[in-house]
Formats: sequence, C-alpha cells, structure tokens
Amino acid sequence: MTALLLEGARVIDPAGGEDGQRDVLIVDGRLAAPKSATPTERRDVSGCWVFPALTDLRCVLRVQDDVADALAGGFARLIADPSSARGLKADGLELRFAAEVTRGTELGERALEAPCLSSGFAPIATNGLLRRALQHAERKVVMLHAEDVTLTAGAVVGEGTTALRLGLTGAPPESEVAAVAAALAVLEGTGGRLHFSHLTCRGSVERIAQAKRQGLSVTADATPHHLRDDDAKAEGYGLEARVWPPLRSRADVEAVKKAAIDGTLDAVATDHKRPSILEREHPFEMAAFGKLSLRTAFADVVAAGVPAARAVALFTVGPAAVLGLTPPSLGAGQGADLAVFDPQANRMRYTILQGASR
Amino acid sequence: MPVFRHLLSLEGMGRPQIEAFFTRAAEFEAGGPHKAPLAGRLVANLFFEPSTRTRSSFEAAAKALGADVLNWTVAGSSASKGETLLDTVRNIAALGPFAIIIRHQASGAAAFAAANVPCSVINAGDGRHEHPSQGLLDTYTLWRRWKTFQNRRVLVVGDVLHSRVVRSNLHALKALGAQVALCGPRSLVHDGWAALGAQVDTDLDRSLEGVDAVMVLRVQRERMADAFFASEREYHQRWGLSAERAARLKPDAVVMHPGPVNRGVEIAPEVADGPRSLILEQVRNGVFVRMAILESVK
Repeated sequence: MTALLLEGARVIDPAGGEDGQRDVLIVDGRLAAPKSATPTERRDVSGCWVFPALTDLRCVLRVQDDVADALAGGFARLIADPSSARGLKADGLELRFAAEVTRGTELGERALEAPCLSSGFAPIATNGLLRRALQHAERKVVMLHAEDVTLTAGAVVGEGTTALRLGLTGAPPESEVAAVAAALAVLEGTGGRLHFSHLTCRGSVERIAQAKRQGLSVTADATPHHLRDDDAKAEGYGLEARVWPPLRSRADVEAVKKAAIDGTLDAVATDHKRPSILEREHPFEMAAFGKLSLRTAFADVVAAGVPAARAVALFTVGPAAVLGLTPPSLGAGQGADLAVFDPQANRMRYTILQGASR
Repeated sequence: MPVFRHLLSLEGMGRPQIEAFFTRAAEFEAGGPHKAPLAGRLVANLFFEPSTRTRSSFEAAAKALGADVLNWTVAGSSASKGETLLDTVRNIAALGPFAIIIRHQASGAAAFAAANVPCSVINAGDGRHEHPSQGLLDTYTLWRRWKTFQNRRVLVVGDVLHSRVVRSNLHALKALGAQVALCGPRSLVHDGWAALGAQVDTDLDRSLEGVDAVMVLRVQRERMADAFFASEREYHQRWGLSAERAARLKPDAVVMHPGPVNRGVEIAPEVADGPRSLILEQVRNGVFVRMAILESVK
C-alpha cells in the first residue's frame, strides 16, 4: 500500500461544494477519507491550492511536447481539435478528439466515440449547414467558431488603434456578434445543443446571457488570453497577439472576464496551438496564428483576476457540464487526478494522475 | 546627422531628428562637397512589389554616394515558391550589404527583416504600415518652402485605408507641428484616425477650406478586393481634386501626390500638371532625402 498525504493545502472542489483548508490523502491511486490510512509519504503543500485536474475543451495537439505542456499545466483530460495529430503518447492523460462537424460544405461523419462535434477555428459555412448539423448531432454538443467571414476578410488582429497604426486589417467585433446572433436564432428554431467556442466580445456574451435566460440549450467558453490581453498586445508586431479569434478592445476583455466570473461563460478552453518554425518565418500578417497555452492556462486565468474557486470551476465542472460528463471531484473513493497550484509563484507545481505525480 | 540602426517608421521620431534629415538633404541638394562616403560599399534593393520611383530613387541616391547597388526583384510572392521572407533576407544579408532596402506587401515586413539580419534595414514600404522615406521627402518638399510648420494645415485626401504613405506623413507632420486633416469616403477613412491626432471629414469642399497643402493619395485599385465606393466617376466627383476645387484653394497652397497618379480619378490632369503641383519636385527631392537616409544608417 502507498498512502500519500498532501498537507496544508487549500482544497477547492466545486463538484463537492468544498473550498477550505484540509489535508488530502491518496491511497493506492484513489482519494481516501482523511486519517483512514497511515501515510507512507508526506508532502508539505501549505499555501498551495489543490483541485481536481483540469479539462481542456479545445487544443491543437501537434507534437509530444504539447502533451508535456498539458501535464505541466495541471490537465487530466484534453478534448483535442479535429486537426490534431493522432498517435501521440497520452502519458496518463485522457485524450479525446472532437469530430469535425462539417467537411467543407458537407456534414462531417459523426464519430460515435467523439465527445463533441467542433468547427475548430473556422465557422460553419452557412446557417443551413448549421441547422442540419444541429439536427444530425442528436443531442451531441456542436462547438461553433462564430465568425462572419464577410466582415473579417484579410483581418489578422482586432479592430482598433493598434491595428490602424500598424497597418493591419482589424476584424470588427460585429464579425463575431452577428454570427452568434444568427446561430442562436437557428438554435432556437432547430433545437439541439450548441456551444460557442472562444468568445471575445461584449456583444457576444450579452447575447449568450440572454439566450440562457430564454432557456436555450447553449453554453460558451473563452480562452485565457481573451480574458487577459487586449488588441494592444500586437504592438511591435508581437506574435503573442497572432491568435484567432483576435484580441479585442479592453472593454471587450473586461466584459468577457465578467461573463466568465458570473457564469455566463461555462468554461475556459486553451486554444493551445503550437506554430511550426516554418509557419513563423514570415511577417506578422503571413505568420500562422496560434500560441502555447496549456502550460500557463490556469495561471493566466487567475492572473486575469478570476477568483480561485471560479477559475477551478471554469476548468473542471464547467467543461464537464458542456460535454455532459461526470464532473471531476476530490471526494473519497474517486481516482486521484488532481493539480497542485502555487498562487504565490502563480504556477502549477505538479499534476497527480491516478495517484502518480507527473 | 543622427545615426540610426534601421529606418523602419517615422512614428516616434522627433522634430530635431526629422529636421536633421532635411538639413542634410538640403546640403546634398545644394551640391555641397561630399567625397563618395559609401564608396566600395554595397546596398541591396529588395522589392517584393513593383516600384518605379522608390527603387530608382534609392538607386540614384546610393550611386551618388558612391555605393554599389544590388537589385533583387521578386516576381510574385516568394512564399508561394516555398521561400520564406526569413530565408530571403538572410540570403541577401549574406552577400554583405551594409543596408537592405525592402518593400513588401505585408505590414511589419521591414521590422521582421530587421530582427533577423545583421545589417541595417530601410523600409521602402511595408503593406499599409509605413513608407518613411516618402514621408520624409514629402515633408522636406514642404519644409523647403515653409521652413516652419507652425499654423500650417495639411489635408490628405483619398484612399487612407490602404495607404502606407499617410501613416508616415501623419507622424512626421504632427512631430513638425502641422495640423493634419484626412478626407475621403468613410469606407476608406476610418473614424479611428482621430485617435492618432488627425481631423476626419468626408466632405472634400469643407476640408479644403484654409489648407496650405493638399496631399492627394492614389486610389489603390489593386488592393481593393471589395467595393469601397460606387464608381470612379462618383469618386472623382466627390473626392477628386478637380480644377474647380484647386482654383478655390488659398493662393499659395500647394498640391502633392506620392505617385503613381490615376489621372482623372483622384486628381484632374490639369491640376497634376498645374502651377500648384509639386509632384515632380517631390520626385527630385526624393533622391536628396534618400541620400541623407543612406548616410544615416549604420
């Protein structure tokens, strides 16, 4: 028998309704009631937060380093974008792949084992296709990238003074808001389960809040960077701002953050995507979008000003609810998948999966 | 003369630095003695977009200073042929120029090149971002007449959206103390320009009142994928600098255009060739200003 005792942690377990100081005991890879066994190993984690290991609703996995980033970032479960590489070693992670909701102008084949259908980083071509996708998905959640491409032609950043000064084409917020409004209208008429990926604008989250009040079956997420960084990040053609959807105005960032805190948004998804070296041998406009996010996602959300318990919920019970999965918890008897976060250093200390440190 | 590692933009450049370029350009224009300071050194012209006057002007300036010029013209996009911009600029830098003069269709291309080569980089136009040598030669052309920009009003009219010239001119004119106004169809002149210190108006006749100089921008048809205005006829009627409009300008007001000109669209031929026009003087001054630029980068 092995019995690991984590001592002095703040335990944050939204599914178990717990947020307080206690020790955590792990016996043979499962969580156990305190004092139910004599520890064979003790670790002092005072000052740290311990919470269920995280779920990411959307990341692009390309190389083994992406899995390593997820483990370092406190994740236990990844829903990989359909464009991800297959055949990476999971290293204890639960790796699942979203199915393509469409392929070009046709519906994608519905993989029965897929946790959801996703349009990835591009919109579904037409409202007619979205309608058929919602019908075809039969209660499986459809994850939608909301973008009216007629308003984003040539755009590489969000509209604003920075875009104007740098001579970059900016996408206006209405390119997202108009697509959200249209998709909600389709959802209302068609039924089905719709989830909006990476929302970035005040107008979008306002419409989600209204749709939820109306009782529509809708959920939504935002990325850590859209909760934190505004369009000025592109100053000096900084490639940290080369993300899609683009970074928006400070007012939009604040509105999205507020929506993440008040529950209008259900989850944070990382949008982790590792550009290849070749994709970055071009100037900003021609460089591929994408940034590394898995390793720092949780810390970034905390740094953005989201309270601890809510930040944990956005990465645990939130994504589980979006996917209709059992929410991860730290109750006795559960498999020991948990993360230890150091709020002083604002970094993940380590991840424990099935009782083993990663 | 101040020394620059690169010349990538005029944003942030102060009045003394800009005026130092003017003073040096004026010395070159006056035929002041200079002993081929760049003799035996190599300048590389790297143009990813077609250009007649900028490339020739830099070449003339480099030769006047005794430098050898390497012209590297890229037909079409090198990226489409598999060569990345990084690869191209590193290859050219390996030939040993002291400066690479680069024009590229992407905003930020010059800064990208500068970050990746050991030599100086001079931006000869990057996407819609900046065209600093054009901004300097335009303001030099005005400075020769005015000597001071206090209480001077400059109107830029036309396709502001697609113009790299407007950004360089705006930053230089503001630094020199001029008032700057922009005019054009709202689809081409974004309200956001007010945040950069320019007045914005869509009515040309109102905008022309009291101005000392009008910079007419080219309608960049090649950059317009969509309809930004109804027709060239309508554009000329509402935003074209016609002979009638030019006649209402202040007696000593001047008219400029960075070229190439769409005659009859943004400017009437008789205005482009008329007594207020400084268009050919701009081209002539460009060589002296670019001599000052080439001398300033180290």
